[in-house]
Amino acid sequence: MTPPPDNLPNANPKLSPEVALELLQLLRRKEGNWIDWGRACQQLQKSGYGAQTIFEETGIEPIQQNLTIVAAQVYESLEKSGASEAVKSYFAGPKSDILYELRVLSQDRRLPAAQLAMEKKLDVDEAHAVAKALQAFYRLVRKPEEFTDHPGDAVAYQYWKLAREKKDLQERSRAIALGLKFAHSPSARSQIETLLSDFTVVPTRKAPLLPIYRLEGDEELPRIVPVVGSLPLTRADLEAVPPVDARDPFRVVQVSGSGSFVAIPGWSVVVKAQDLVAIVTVAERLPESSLAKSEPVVVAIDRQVRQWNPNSYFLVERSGQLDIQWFDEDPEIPLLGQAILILPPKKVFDENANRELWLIDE
Amino acid sequence: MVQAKSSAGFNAGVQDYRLTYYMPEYTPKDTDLLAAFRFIPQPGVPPEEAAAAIAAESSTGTWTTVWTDGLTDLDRYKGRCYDIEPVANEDNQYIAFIAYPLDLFEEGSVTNMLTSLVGNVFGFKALRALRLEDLRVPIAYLKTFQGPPHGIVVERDKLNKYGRPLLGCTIKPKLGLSAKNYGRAVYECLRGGLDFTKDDENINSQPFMRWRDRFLFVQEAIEKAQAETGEVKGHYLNVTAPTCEQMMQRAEFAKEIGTPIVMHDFLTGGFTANTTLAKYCRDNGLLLHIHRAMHAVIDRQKIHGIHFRVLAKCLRMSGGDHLHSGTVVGKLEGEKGITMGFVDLMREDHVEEDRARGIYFTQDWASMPGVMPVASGGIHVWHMPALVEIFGDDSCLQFGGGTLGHPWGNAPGATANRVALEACIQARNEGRNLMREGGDVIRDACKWSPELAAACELWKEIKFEYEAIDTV
Repeated sequence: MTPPPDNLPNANPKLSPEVALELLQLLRRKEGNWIDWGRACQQLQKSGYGAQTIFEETGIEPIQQNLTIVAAQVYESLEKSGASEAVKSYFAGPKSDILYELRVLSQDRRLPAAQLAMEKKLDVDEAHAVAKALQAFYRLVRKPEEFTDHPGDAVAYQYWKLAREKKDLQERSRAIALGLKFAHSPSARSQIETLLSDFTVVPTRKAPLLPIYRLEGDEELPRIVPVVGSLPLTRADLEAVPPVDARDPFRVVQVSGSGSFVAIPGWSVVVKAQDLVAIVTVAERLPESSLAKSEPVVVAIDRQVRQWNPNSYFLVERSGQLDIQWFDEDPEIPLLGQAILILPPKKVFDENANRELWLIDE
Repeated sequence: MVQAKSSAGFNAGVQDYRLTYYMPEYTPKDTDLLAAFRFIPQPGVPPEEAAAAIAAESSTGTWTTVWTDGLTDLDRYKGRCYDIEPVANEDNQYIAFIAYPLDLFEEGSVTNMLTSLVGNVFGFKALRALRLEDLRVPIAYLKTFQGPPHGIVVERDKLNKYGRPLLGCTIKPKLGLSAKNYGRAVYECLRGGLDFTKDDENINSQPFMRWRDRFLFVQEAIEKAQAETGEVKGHYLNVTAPTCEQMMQRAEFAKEIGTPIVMHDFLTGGFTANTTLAKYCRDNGLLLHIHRAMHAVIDRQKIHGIHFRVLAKCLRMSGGDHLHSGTVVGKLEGEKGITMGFVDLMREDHVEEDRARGIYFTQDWASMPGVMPVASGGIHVWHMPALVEIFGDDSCLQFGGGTLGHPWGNAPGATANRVALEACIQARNEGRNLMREGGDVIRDACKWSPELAAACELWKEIKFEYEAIDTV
C-alpha cells in the first residue's frame, strides 16, 4: 500500500528544477493572467510541490491556488466548447471567482452559463446562486413546459417558484423582477408576468377555516347499539328489540318507534358484531368481576353468536331472568348471545381537570 | 368560556386564545422571531383557536387569566399567530405561522429560545400532534450568538485543504477497543489518506478505555500519520461528559496535547454545554465536530416533535464546525431535497424560502460562519460520485464500514476512499457529469488503484433502497 499523495490520480512526473523555478517566478511576479497562474499552480502541485510551499515561495494563498486551478479548468472547458473570443476575453479578466462557481456544472452546461454570466454581468454571489439554480433545474425529472433549457429560463424558473411562495408583496415583487431579469424565452417571461396580475396575495380579511376533520380510523366512529334495558330482564325483553341497520360511511341508523340507544366506540370487536344489543347492569351481577360491586356497566351482547365455546361468557335465561354466565361444557339450555364486551365508565382522578381541553401535561 | 382581554379589568376564567393571539392582520416585523408549527387539532377544536393557543402557550399565555397579567404589557410580549395554512395533501394538518417579539428571548441562549418555543406547548391537550417545522431567526437576535467556533473557511485554512470534501471514518467497533488498539486503527486510517477519524458518539470514558488514555494514544497516531504523509490530520476526540466541568477538563487536555479538533454530542449534552464548549473552542483554536445522537427521538415523526432543520439552525447558533446531516444515498433516513434544504441552512449565508425543500422562511445568517455538513452512515466508494455531486466541496464524507470493512485492512480502505474522491473531483472539475459518468470515473480509477478495485469488488452488490420518511 502506498500512502497518498503518490498514488492519487493527479500525480505527475517531477518537473525539472528549471521549469519549476520558471513557474514559481511567474507566480511570484504575477506574470500573465489568472489562467496562467492556475495552470502554473496545478503543474507545481502535480509535481509534488505542496500548496504551503507554493504559498511561501510566491505569496499566493492555498485557497487562491485552488480557486485559480479549478477556474482555469473551467476556462479550458469553455475553450473546448468553442467559446467566442468575447467570452474568453471577458473571463480572462479578473473573473476567476465567477468561473470557479461554475465548476459544479457539467461541460455542456458551462458555456451557456458563462455566456449568461457575461451578459448579465453577474458578481460572485449571483454566480453562486445561478449555478445552484441551474443545477437544481437540470436535475428536474419533469421540466415545466414554459421554461426552456436555456440557462436564463432555468434561473427564471427558480425565481418564479420563489415568487409564488411569497406572500409579502415587496418580496414577491423582488422575486418577479429577478425572474424577468433572467427569463429568456417569451413563454417563460409570460409565465412570470402572470404573477403580476395575481392579486390573491393582497391581504384581505379571511373567513375562518371550515372545521373539517377527516375520520382517521374505524374506532373514531361509534356504533349505535339498542339498549334492552337494565337487569333484571326477561328473554321476551331481549327478543323485543329489533336489530338496527347502520348505513356507511357514517353508520347512520334509521329508527322508528321508541327505544333507548347507547354509543359504543367503534373498536374492532364492536364493529364485527352482527346483531349487537346492550344491557345495563351493575358489576355485582357479573360473574368473577374485579370491579367494585356497585359500579354500573354496559354489557354488549352479540345475539348472532349462539355457539358455545369455553373462552366466552354467554347470555342465558335462568328462572325466567336473563343472566351472564360461563360454561365449562356445552350447556343444555339455549344460549341467547355472546357477551363481547363489558364496558365500565371511565374513571379518573380529577374529573374536572380532564374536561378542560386547554390544560397542559408538563 | 369566560373571555379575558388584556386591556380590560381582571376577568377570571379560562382563556379564549383566539381573541388575543390570533391576528391574521399582523405583519411580522424584521425583528420578530418567526416559527412554523405543523399541528393537528383535537377533533372539533377550530384551527384558529388551536394555533392561537400555540402562540399563547409558547409566549406569554397560561391556561387561565392571572392577576399578574395586569402588571405587564401583554401586547408587547405576546406571540401572534399571523397565518394558518392547511397542509396540502394531508388531512387534519395545518401550519401555524407565529411571530414572537424579540424581547421574549435571552441574548445568545439557544437554551432559552427553545424552552420558550417548545418547552411546554407540546403537552397541550387541545392538540393531537405538534411539530416545529422551521424558524426564522432575526438578524438582530443572531448577532447575539457567536455561532460556530471557526467555520468552513477557517477550518480549511487550518487544515490547508481546499477544493474537495474532507474524508473521515468512525473507528469501529463502537465500543470495547483498548486505547492502544484504538490508536493503531486511527493511525492506519489517517496514513491511508483520510483527513479525520472519529470517536463514536457513545465513546466517552468507559472502563475499557478511559478518556485520557484514548486522547494520548490517538494524538500519538495523529502525529505519526502527519509526519508520514505531510498532511494535517485530526481525530474527533469526544469530550462529552457527565458534567460541564468534566467536559471542559477533557477539552483543555485535548488542547494541551495539541489535537486540532474535539467532538460533542449536542443533544444528549445539551445546548448550554454545547455553547460553553463552542466558546472555549473559538478562544483556544480547537475545531468542534458535532454529533446528533438522539435526534431521531425528536425529529423522526412527521407530525410530532421538531424537524431536524430547526435543530441544525439551533446548532449553528450554539456553535459547531461540523454537524451530521444524513447521507441522502446511504442507509439513514432523509429525502434528498429536504436534506439539502437543511444542508444549505447549515453552510450558506442566505437561504431563500423554498417549500419544496421544507424551508418556510428566508433566512439570512448575517455572516455567521457556516457549519460543514457531515454525511455519514452506510456509504462506500460506489456512492462517491453521487456524494460529490450532491454535497459539493464543503462537506465531510465519513466512511466507517466503507473504510474499516475493506478486505485488505484499514489503510487500504482509507486509500480506496481517497482515490475515489480525488478521481471524482478531478472529473467534475474537467466538466464530466458525475451523476451520469460517475461509475466510469470510479472504474477508470480502479485500473491504477488496486485498493479501490478491491473495495469496488466487495461493495458493488450492496444497495440501499430504504424509502425516505421525510417528505414535504
